[in-house]
Amino acid sequence: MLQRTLDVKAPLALRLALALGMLALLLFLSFVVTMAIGAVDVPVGVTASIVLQQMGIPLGATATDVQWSIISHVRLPRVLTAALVGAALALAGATMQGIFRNPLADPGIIGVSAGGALGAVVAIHFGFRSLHYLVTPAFAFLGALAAVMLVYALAATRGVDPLTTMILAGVAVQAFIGSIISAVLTLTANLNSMREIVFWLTGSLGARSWTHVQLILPFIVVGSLLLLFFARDLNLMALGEDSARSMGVDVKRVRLIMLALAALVTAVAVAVSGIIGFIGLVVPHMVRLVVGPDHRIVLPTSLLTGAILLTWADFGSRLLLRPQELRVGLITAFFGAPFFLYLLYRHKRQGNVL
Amino acid sequence: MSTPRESDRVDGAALSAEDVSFAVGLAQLLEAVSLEVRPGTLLGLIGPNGAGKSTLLKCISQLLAPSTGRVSLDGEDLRGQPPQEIARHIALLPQSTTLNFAFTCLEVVLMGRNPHLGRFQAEGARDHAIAQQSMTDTGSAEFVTRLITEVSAGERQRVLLARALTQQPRLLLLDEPTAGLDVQHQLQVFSLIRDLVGQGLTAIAVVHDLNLAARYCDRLVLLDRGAVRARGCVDDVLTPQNLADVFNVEATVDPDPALGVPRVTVIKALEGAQAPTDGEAPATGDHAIPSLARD
Repeated sequence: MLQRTLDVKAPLALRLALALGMLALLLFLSFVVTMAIGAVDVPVGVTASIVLQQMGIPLGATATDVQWSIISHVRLPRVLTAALVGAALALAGATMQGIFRNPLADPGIIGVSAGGALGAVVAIHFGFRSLHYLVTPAFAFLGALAAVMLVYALAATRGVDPLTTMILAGVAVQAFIGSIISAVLTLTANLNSMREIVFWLTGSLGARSWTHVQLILPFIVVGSLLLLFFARDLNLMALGEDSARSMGVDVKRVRLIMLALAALVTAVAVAVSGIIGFIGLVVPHMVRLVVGPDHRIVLPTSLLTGAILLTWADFGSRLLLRPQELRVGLITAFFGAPFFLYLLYRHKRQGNVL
Repeated sequence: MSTPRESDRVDGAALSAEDVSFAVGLAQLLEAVSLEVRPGTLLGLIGPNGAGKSTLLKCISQLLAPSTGRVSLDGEDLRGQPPQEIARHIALLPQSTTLNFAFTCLEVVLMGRNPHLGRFQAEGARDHAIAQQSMTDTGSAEFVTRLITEVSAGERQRVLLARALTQQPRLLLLDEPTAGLDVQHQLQVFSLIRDLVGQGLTAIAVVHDLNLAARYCDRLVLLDRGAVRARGCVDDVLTPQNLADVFNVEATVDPDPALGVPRVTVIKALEGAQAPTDGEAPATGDHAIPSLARD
């Protein structure tokens, strides 16, 4: 099904342009189709023209006021949030797998997701969230960053092998935070708060507004661009720290910067969506099967593929049990886990490590 | 296996290390090591496990900053120079290279161009030509599109050597370049290195096999517990007395009837402790600081 289709001898720019062009088109089509279908169906042509007009391109059919407001006030901010979150998670996942040279690394490996969850749980349990609808995201964001800094501090004090130590510290911090969350859940008498906490832990993109988009857009765009800046270093680091150093990469500095950026975009994503698993783990694997392991292509294509997949996962969450809405984290896990097993099986059969 | 050098290639540089020491915590891994390598020669570093051979290579390439002492290339001090600048002059083939990602051999070799490229610059026609030449030189040209994860150990080592040559270094550092290879590939890799040195490259190799060291190196440095025990031409360093002192073995050295170079025959390991050991005995040092003392 998936083959490494891009010829390695073709110039990098050509391969990159080809892959990104196709994915950008696919992302646009995904936007239009998933927005057109819902409680009220809007014709695809009308949806497309509304999106184009929002982008400043006056083209296509005219929309009724209802259609205009459904698409541009309800569905567009939601798919944009989905796309941004998916892009951030997939890019951070590809980065973590590169840094840790570990195919099982995902954005949560250094405690980002666990910390975000704790922040959100605190905000919900103590009722802070009723102060303002952005309090939960703010707490989640701060919790995510605090957890990462804790993991980093724990790992940095042991000078032996920072990567292994960091993974172990990440596991310990996640387990520790997990126990606190369980304790808080046990103490939560209010059934509504409890429901909300459980919901937050499976991730959702429901009722996301333009405010959410505006909040996360700058972080994710800037963070992603800076990450792409270091793509070639990630290739060299794949050969090991000594090799990378001997080819001129300042490994310690680059690794710290990339970890910080990946943690930042993940924290921002977690803050508005809750915990959405498997995007960061699976997307880089899918992408590498088609474009190969060169991070200069893997990082940008992971970003777009993550955006596309989460857009469709969110679409599925809205549609599958209509009028009930499923949690999007449930959809990504339900489809992501078997797909990941398929990839492992495929690798094993071919005798490849990655 | 090799073809005449392209004019593109750079001439070897003179390396000098003066009183280089390196310590981690209480462990003194290198103690006032000095050595000189003339342009266009191959220096062999020999010594038992934990002697500090790999640590010395890392100090020379500035992967580790020496605690004291000075390393200079053609008289220019390397301390404090940016990694990318150093990588334009010194290439290192480390003992182990992680290969988790299925890069093609060409992609791996092209990585050697990194020190010569700007941040957003992709490899151009000249970089491809240099990579191609390195692969031809190392007899790995036919692996271009094969995956580095799927070639044999001997093939992989030649590809990694091509990667190092693609840096167009003036000094090539090799950490046990033939570890894990069968005899045929051991000879292939060393005769290739010999050819490159014959064409002007300067090289330092950590060599475990004393007979390979005797056969291919111009000069040897014998390290023991972080200090130089002997240095000079092969005949002066590979003596039964030195081997007994440093490796704790009874050995004979005689001219190899087929090759004419010194041949080391180890008779037996000597009983008892290997010379007096102080606090940072090499054997425990290996475990205490795995990422640094590995040798």
